[in-house]
Amino acid sequence: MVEVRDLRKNYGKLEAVRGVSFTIPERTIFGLLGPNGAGKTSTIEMVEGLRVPDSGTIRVCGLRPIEDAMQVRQVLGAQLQTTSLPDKISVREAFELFAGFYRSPARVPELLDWVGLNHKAKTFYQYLSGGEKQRVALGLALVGNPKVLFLDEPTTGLDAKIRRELHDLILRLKDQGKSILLSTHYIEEAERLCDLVGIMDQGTLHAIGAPRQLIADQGAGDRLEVSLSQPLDLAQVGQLAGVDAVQPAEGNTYYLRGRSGGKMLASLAVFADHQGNELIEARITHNSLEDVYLSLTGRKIGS
Amino acid sequence: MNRMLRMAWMSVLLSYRVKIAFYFTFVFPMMFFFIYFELFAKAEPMAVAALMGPLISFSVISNALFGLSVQLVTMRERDMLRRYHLAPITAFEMVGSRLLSNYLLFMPLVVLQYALAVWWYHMPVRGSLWALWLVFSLGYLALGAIGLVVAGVVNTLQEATVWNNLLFFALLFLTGTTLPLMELPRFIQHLALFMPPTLMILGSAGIMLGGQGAGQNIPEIVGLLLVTVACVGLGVALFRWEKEVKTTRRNRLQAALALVPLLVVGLWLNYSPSFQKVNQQYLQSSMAAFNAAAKR
Repeated sequence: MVEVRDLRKNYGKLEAVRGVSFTIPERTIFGLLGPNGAGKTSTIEMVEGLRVPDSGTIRVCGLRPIEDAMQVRQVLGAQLQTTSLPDKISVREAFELFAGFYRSPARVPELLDWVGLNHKAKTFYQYLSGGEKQRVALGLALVGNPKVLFLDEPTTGLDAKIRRELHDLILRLKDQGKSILLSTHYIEEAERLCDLVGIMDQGTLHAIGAPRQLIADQGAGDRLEVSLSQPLDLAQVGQLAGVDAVQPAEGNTYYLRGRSGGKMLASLAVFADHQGNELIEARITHNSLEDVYLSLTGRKIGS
Repeated sequence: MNRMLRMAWMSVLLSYRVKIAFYFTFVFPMMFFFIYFELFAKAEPMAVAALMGPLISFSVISNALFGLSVQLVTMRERDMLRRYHLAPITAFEMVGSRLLSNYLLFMPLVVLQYALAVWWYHMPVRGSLWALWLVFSLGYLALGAIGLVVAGVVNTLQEATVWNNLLFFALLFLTGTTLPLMELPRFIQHLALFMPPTLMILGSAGIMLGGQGAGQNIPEIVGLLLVTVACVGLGVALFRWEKEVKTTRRNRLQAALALVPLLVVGLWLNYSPSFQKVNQQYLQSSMAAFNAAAKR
């Protein structure tokens, strides 16, 4: 449904997108996972046809977003990071207005029901909460009955409950047969929703795969995050029993990876004690996309 | 076309919900209605008729030129245009819908002021009303189209305000909108013919004072139409959906093309002896009406 090849975009001297390529098959949620400034929005906006790429090719349902703009917009729906509408337009009026732009639009009463805004149909946009505005944005993305959906950080700034509700809506959209490109910096969102995830950092797509596969490729096991009073000798720590890999983070914090978090902790505690180094904090987690991200980019996603 | 009409109609509906828009569209112009006709025309029916064109011109310059460009730049700055950009809408439909909605909001004011002038000030009803409607409509669309060009070449609201103020005051004082044309130096009378408000004022004077129809006002009508078509075309070419996309040197040079129809019309009217003759005749009629009012 969507094919992107060697996409590049510079803003002055800044290389925002550096040769990104990916394909989104039908009935698939493809997630672009990365922190702010990774190049996710620039990539999505080029695929939507809002920005002109410096080079590369894009096809959405076989159409070119810039050259075939009017046809592409009939088949794609997009939710921008922030949607701005006139203050005094009601939800129903906004849906009806935009529905009128498409050849085969969704029925507005059903759409209102679907995004859970029936009770707010007559409410002016200015009086909606953040979550309701996101639902309006999702509704506007769906109003043209699109085949492909682009959701740019759809749950950013929303509380956990509303985020879960939106996740359910997005999964239902996939069940309806839509292909979805989703950008996010939430690990759990990518793990829960996406069939395929692209790990993006500093304009580069480092890896693409199913979340489970990406995690498995890191090796099954645990991650031990430790903070100590003094720096560690990485070479020596790498030799400890149960430790497969070690990575430094900020200050005297380190990430250790291995089959068993408990074993790693035990051997590290003994080692640190021998060195006269005090173990201040330790946390064991199972490998996740966070670890994949860390391993591929050398940074935590939130850093 | 359907999409343009939908957007225009929604914009009209939304404008009636915003108090400040209602104030600028109706309350503010009605204040000038009474200032012009009580203070300047001294409620003298013929002077009222002579001042109707300048009064409408005043409202058109502020509403069409200033209003339209500021609206479009504000929509761009607030990222509202981005939402439309994702829908299957062309730049022409977007720009056309704004021009149309502002026109639809403005023309009831013209009807109201004309009717009130007839009823309250006993202004004589002369000439073809549809020709008058055509002249005022084209005047509005021409000034609005110039506003579209302004919106296309500025990057920010501040820039739009600077450009609008420059144009606003130039058009206010050099076209007969505030100072009677006959009172202005001869070279400014010639210069005024390069500007759309003058054509609207002269056309409406011919109709309202001389009882003319559209046929006798072909130069004004063609001139306003030419400016409208050329500037709408330029406005569409220069239109930008995204605030991140900045105007370029090429855009500014393109915008300078807006001067071409103004120059063509101005030169044509300045070198047309028949137009000059009729023009002088109606300028004199206007002055006679003012003088009569002044003697009261």
